Amino acid sequence: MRRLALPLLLASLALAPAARAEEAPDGKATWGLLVDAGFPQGGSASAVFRPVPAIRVFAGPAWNWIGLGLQGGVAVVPWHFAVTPVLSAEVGRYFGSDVSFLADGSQGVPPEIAPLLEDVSYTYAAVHAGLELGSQRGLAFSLRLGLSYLSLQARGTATVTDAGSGTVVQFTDPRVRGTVPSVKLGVLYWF
Amino acid sequence: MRPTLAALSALALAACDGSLLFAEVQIPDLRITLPSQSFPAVAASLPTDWCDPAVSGNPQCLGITSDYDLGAEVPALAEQGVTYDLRLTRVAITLSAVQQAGAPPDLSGIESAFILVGHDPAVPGSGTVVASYQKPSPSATPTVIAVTGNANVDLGPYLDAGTLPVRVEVYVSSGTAAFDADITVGFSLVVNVDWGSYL
Repeated sequence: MRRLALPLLLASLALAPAARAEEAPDGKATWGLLVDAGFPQGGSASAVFRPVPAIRVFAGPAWNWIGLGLQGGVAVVPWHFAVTPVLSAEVGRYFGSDVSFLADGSQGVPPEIAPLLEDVSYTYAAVHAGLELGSQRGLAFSLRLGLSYLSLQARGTATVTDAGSGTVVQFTDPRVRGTVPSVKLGVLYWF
Repeated sequence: MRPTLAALSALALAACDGSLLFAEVQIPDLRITLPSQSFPAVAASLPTDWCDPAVSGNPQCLGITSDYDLGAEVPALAEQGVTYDLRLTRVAITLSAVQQAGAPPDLSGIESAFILVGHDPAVPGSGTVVASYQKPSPSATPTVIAVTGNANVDLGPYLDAGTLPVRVEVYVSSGTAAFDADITVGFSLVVNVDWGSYL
């Protein structure tokens, strides 16, 4: 029962002002705080600004388990109910991080690859569509799904030598980019 | 509202290069060094070592073929829905540290060299030249010969089950003894995976 207490409390806080939420924002709650987490964006805390009722812009620091970054974007909320559709687009960048600990032999990554993991950074852009549950003047939760474009850069040279043939293979500055499905959970509070 | 939605759609499509689900791996510098590749001595009695055994009295052009197993280094090359672009960036022939008895102390005996792909052993002279070397001066005594590859040639069609046979043909001075050399071939590789083909 205790496990349910916190979600129920948060849900009640979110739904309590639902009646007011059906009204368009009156312009007073133009600033908010968004905390969200997802894949592949990681976690972030954003200041949110609502210049007009249907548009939000947000930006702030981001963190994933390998490093820190910055992110920002824009969201479109076409109308306002207790359950509101949200479309958003965002970009972010994680700065160079040392993830060579992954190549310590226990993670399945060959130790020879370690030099490539000492400076890894990535940039992403994402578009999401989802639903927001709660108030446009107070607390709201969101679940968004979409597509992310990733560009991951590793800097350095890895050298792998075949013990049998003596063949030496060197990889330098590999880069991976592509698209992956994306999911994001968020909590938004309007001041 | 419409312009915003259009912009978001354009962002998504532009980011994907027109393909919705894809992954691309770029390795701008992939070097594979095969150690101790044996170059035979100039011998008029062994035409099998000649670039063209049918050409009588042509022992000065010697050829060896080495297989570069790119599929072992980048296993995705053989996967479904994978396309790739493979280019030669450089070739280096380095006199091996450990040598056969009587081997020359340097590579001064090599007057010129040609690196070929798509060479058919049954057809002397066949193949596409992707790099070449000309001895810079008669007095040069290099221990390393490094040349830039012709990046205009896509090597993809020459891959056979992930392996690229590279033919090295060298024109050597008379009397050049057998020697071993490490042959390093540098590539740039872009591998594209279409996720959609897995769905």
